[in-house]
Amino acid sequence: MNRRKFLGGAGAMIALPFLASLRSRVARGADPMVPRRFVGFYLPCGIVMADWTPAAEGAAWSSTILAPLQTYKSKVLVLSGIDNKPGRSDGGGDHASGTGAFLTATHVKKTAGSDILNGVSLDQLLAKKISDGLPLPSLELGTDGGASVGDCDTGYSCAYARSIAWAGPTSPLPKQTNPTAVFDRLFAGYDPDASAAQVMRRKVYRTSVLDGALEDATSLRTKLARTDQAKLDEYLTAVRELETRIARPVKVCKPGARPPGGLTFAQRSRAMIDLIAISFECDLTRVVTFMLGNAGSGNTHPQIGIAESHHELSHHMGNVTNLTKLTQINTWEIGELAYLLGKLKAIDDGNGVTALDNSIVFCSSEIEDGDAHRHTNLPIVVAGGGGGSIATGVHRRYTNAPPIADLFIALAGGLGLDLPKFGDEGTKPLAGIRA
Amino acid sequence: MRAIALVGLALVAACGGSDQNADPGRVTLHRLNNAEYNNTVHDLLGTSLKPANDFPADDRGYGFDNVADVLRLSPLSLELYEGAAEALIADTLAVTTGSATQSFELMGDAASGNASAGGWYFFSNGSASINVQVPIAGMYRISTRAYGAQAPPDPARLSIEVPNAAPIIIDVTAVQANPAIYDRTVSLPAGTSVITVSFINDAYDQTTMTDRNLWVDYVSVTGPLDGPQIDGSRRKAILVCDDLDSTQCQQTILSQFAKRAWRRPPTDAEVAALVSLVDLAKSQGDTAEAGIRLALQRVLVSPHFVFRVEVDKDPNSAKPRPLTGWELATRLSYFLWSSMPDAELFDAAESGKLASDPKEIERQAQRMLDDPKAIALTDNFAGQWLFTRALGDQDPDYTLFPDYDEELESSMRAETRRYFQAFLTEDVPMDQFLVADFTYVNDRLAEFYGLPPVNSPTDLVRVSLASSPRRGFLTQGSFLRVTSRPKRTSPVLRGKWVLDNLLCTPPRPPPPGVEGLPEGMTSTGSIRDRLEAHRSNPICASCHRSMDPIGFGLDNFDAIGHYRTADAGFPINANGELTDGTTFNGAVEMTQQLAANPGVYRCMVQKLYTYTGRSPFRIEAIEHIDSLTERFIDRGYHLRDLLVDIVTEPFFVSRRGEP
Repeated sequence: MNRRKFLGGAGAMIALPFLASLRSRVARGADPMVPRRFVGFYLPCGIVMADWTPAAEGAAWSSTILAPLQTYKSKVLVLSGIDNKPGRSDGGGDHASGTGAFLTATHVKKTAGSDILNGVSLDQLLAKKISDGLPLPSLELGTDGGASVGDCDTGYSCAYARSIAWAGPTSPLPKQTNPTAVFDRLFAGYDPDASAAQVMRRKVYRTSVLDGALEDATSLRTKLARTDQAKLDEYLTAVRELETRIARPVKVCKPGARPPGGLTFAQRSRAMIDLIAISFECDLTRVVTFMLGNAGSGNTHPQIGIAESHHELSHHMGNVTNLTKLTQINTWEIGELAYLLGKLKAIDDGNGVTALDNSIVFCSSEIEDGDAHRHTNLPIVVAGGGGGSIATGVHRRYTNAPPIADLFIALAGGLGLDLPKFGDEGTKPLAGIRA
Repeated sequence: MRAIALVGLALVAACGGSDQNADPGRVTLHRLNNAEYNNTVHDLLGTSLKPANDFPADDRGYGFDNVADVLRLSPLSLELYEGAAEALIADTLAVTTGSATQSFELMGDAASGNASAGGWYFFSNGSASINVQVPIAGMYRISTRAYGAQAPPDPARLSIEVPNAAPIIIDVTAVQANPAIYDRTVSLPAGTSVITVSFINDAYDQTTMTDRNLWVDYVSVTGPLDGPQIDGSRRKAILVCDDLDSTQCQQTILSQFAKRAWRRPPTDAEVAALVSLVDLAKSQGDTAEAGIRLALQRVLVSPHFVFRVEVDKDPNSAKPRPLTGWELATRLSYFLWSSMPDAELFDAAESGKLASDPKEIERQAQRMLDDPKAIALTDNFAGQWLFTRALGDQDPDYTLFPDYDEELESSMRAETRRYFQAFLTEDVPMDQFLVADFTYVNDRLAEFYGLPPVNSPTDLVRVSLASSPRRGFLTQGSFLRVTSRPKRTSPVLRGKWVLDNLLCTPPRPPPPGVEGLPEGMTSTGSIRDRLEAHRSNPICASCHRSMDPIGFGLDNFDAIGHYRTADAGFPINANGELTDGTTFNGAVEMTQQLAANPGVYRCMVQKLYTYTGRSPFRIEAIEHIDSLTERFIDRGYHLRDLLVDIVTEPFFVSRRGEP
C-alpha cells in the first residue's frame, strides 16, 4: 500500500520527520528577524530570602535556593532590593493583590464581584510587539485551576489569584492547566497530508461559523442594556481575535508526544515546561506566562517528601523546621526554572545562538517572605540574554528601592519595546539591567 | 457585602413592612458555567463528552460559581467552544455501528528510525504517534505486529501510551524470522485519542556485539468491545428528515435544533442564515451533510447558546416585567437541573401555560425535583455550600493518616451527597440536618466510623448513629476533612465555616502577617492549647474569639474525621461557645444548639437565594429572604417547599431593565 495515501486516509499522523525541515523554513524564512521571546515564571507564597539572596554582589554569587541555576550562571541576573508596592493589599489578601500586580505593577481593586480592575501586563504588551502574527499571540499556562470552594483570598476576586496575564484592565486571561488539552490546542486540527485546497476550505468553514456568531452577537447587542453589553463585548472581542488568527498561515511542525492525562502536580509542571519549549521551537508563540501554583498555593510537594500545604508552611513564624522545608520547596521550584532554561538552551535559533540567548525569563513570587507578606525586596531572577540586551551573569543589589515597573521598562526595551511608563510607578528603564 | 446585609436587616426591621411590588432586580447575561455546559450538551446531544472539563476554571463570587456578573468569557474560552462544537457534532452524527477495526501504519522520527519492510524500524529509542478516533467511550483492543533485533540481557521493549493510563510495557521476544502479534485491552474516551508507541530500551551489548532494535509493522484498534452498539438514534434525533439536499428538510433540522439549543424558537432570518451554510459547503464541493454539520456547529458557538439570554423590550426601563414562558423554562431548568429544559418544559413554554399559570410553575418544579437530574442541586448548590467539592483538593499527610485513600475519600463524598438527597427528595426536615442520628455508609466508612459492618462494599446503606458520638452533617468525614490541614485539624477553619455558611456572619479578615499556625505535631500542647496562646494576642483575639470556640466543639474529630480523645498526647477539651455566648461541651451539644438557632435557617435561605438569583446580594433581597425563612420554618423546614416557594417569588418570575 502506498504509505502517503494510507496516511491521508487514516487522518492526521503527527510524528512526521520530513516536516522538521519544512518547519525551520517556515519559521525562519517567513521571519528574517531573530526571534525574541518572553516567559513570565510565577512562584507562589514567597521565598525564604535568607537562603535565596546571595551575600556577594557581582559574578561570584552563590545561593542555596538558586543553586540549580549554576549551570546557566552566565545567562542569569539575580536582583535584590526591588519593590512592587502597588501589590500591597487593602486590608488583607496580599497573595491575590500581589499576584494580580505580578506583571502589571498595578494596584488592583479589591472586589469579589464583577468590577475587577487591574492594569495591562508586561507579557501582553510584549505579545503585540514580538509575537504578532504568530498562531498564538501568547500562551497562558499553569499547574492548578484553583481551589474548588470558598473565597479566593480575603475578598479579592479569583481572577487576581489565578491570572498573571491581563490583556486589559478588566480582561484577565485564564490559563490552561491540563497539558493534554494544551497540546491539542497547539496541534489539533493539523492534517499534514491535507491539500492546499483542503486547508483553505477548512479556513473558509471556520471563518463562516465565526462570522455567523459575530452576526448573532452584533444584532443581540443592540437589544441589551449596558451591563449585558459589556458581557457580550467579551464575546465579540474573543470572536474577532480568533478570526484574525484563523486568517494567518497554518504552521506545520513536529510536536513530539502528546502528554498523557492524570499527571501529578510535579509531572504537570514538567509537561507544561516541555510545552513552552515546543511552542517556541515550532514558533507558535513567543510569549508565555506560567504559574507554578496559584496565589497562596496550598499545594503539597510529595515529589520531595513534603506533606504540608505550601501556604501553611510559608507562615513559618521563624520555626526552623518550617523554614527548612520551605527552602526545599523553593529549591525545587528553581529546579523547574532551570529545567526550562535547559530546554531553551537546546533550541537552536541558528548561527550558534540558542533560544535561551534570545529570550527573557522573568521569575519571581507574589510576595517576598511568606510570613511577612511584604511586597518589597522581592526575590527576582531574570534569565536569558534577551538577544544580547541584558547584562546577565551577576547578582545586583539596589539600595534605593526602585519600583519593579522600572525593571519591566528595561526588560521591554531589551526586547525592542519602548515603554515611556508602566504600571502605577514605572517612569524609566531601571539602570544596570541593559547590556 | 454580607456585613452590609446585616446592617440592612436591622434597618428594614426598624422600618417594617414588605412591598409586594418590590424590585425583582435583574440578572446579567449569564454565560453557561462549566457544569452547565457539560450537562447541557449531554441533554441536547446525548453525548458522553464533557468538553468543559478542559475549559478554564469558572470564577466564583459570593460562594458560588454561577453568579452571572462574575462569569467571564475569554478568547481562550471561545476557542475551546469552537473546538468543542466540532467534536460534539462529529460525535453525535457518527455513523459507526458495532465493533470496528482501524489499522495504522507508524512513522516515527528520522533520528530514531526509518521505514523498513512495510513497517517502522526503531534503531534507537523513539516514538511514533497515531490519532485514533472512536465513536464512543469503551474498551478497545490495541494490537501490534512486531519483532526485536535482540541483544542481551533484555528483550526489545515496546511501550504503548494511551490517554489517562499508565504506559503499557510489552516485551517483544519475537525475532525477525517470525514477527508476533501483541495485543492489550485499553479504555479509550469517545473522540480522538493519541496513541504513542515507543521503543524504550535501545542498547548495544559489548560482549556479543549485538544492537537491540525494534520493528513495528502496524497498530490496529478494535472495538468497542463492550458498551452499547451505536444504533444511530442520536444521529436520527438531530437529522429528523432524510432528504438533506432539500431546503425544506434543512430548515426543519436546523430550526428544530436551534430551538432546543437556544431555548426559544429561532426567527426565520436566523434559520435562513443557518441554511446558508449548507449552500456554502455545497459551493465548496462538499455534501449537504457537511453543510448541516457546519450549521449545527454555528448554533453551538452562537451567543444564544453560550449565554442564557433574556431580552427586555425596553432594556433601560426600571419597570418590572413578567418573564416569557421560554425564559421561565430556562430559569427553572438551570436552577433545578443545571441544564437545559426537557421536552415537557419546552411544551409548557410553547403552549403559554408556564407564563400564564403560576400553578404550572409549581407543578413543573415538583415534577423536576422528582427527576434524577435534580441531583444537580446536590452537586452544585450543596457541593459548594457544604464545601464537599473541595474533597480531593489537598491530600492529608500519608505518614500520619495512612488509612486515607481514594476509596475512603469517595465514600465520604458519596455519604454527604446521599445525606443531602434525603433532605431534598425524601423530605427529611432541614432542622435535622445538623443533628440527625442517621447517615449513609458502606463497609469502608462503617469501619472508619467505628460502626458495625453493613455488608455492602460500595453502595451506601442508611444506618443509625444512636450508639455513635456522631450527629448530623458537621460530624461527617467530608466536612471534617475539608476544614482541616494536611497534618492537623483547624478549629479556625471549622469555626469559620460555621460562621460563613451556617450563620452568614463571616468574621473579619485577618490583619496582614498574622494568619496561620505552624504545621505538624509539636510537644507544646494540643492544637487547642496552641490556639489559646495565639489568642492571647489582642489583635488576633478580636476575631478568633468568634471562630475558635466553635471549632473546639469538633475537636474530638481529627484531620480526616477519626474520632479521638487526645491530640498529640493531650486530652481533648471540647468545651466551646457560640457567638451569642451559649456554651456547650462537644459536637452533640453544639449541633443541638445550632439547630435551635433560627439564624441558621435564615442563612440556609440566604445561600439558596444567592444560588438561585445568580447575582450579588442586594439590600432589597433582605425582606424576601426574611419572609421565605418565616414560611420555611412555619411549614416544617422542608427543603422542597422552600424550593417551590422560591421559584414563584418575584425575583424568579420577573425582571426589569437597567435604567
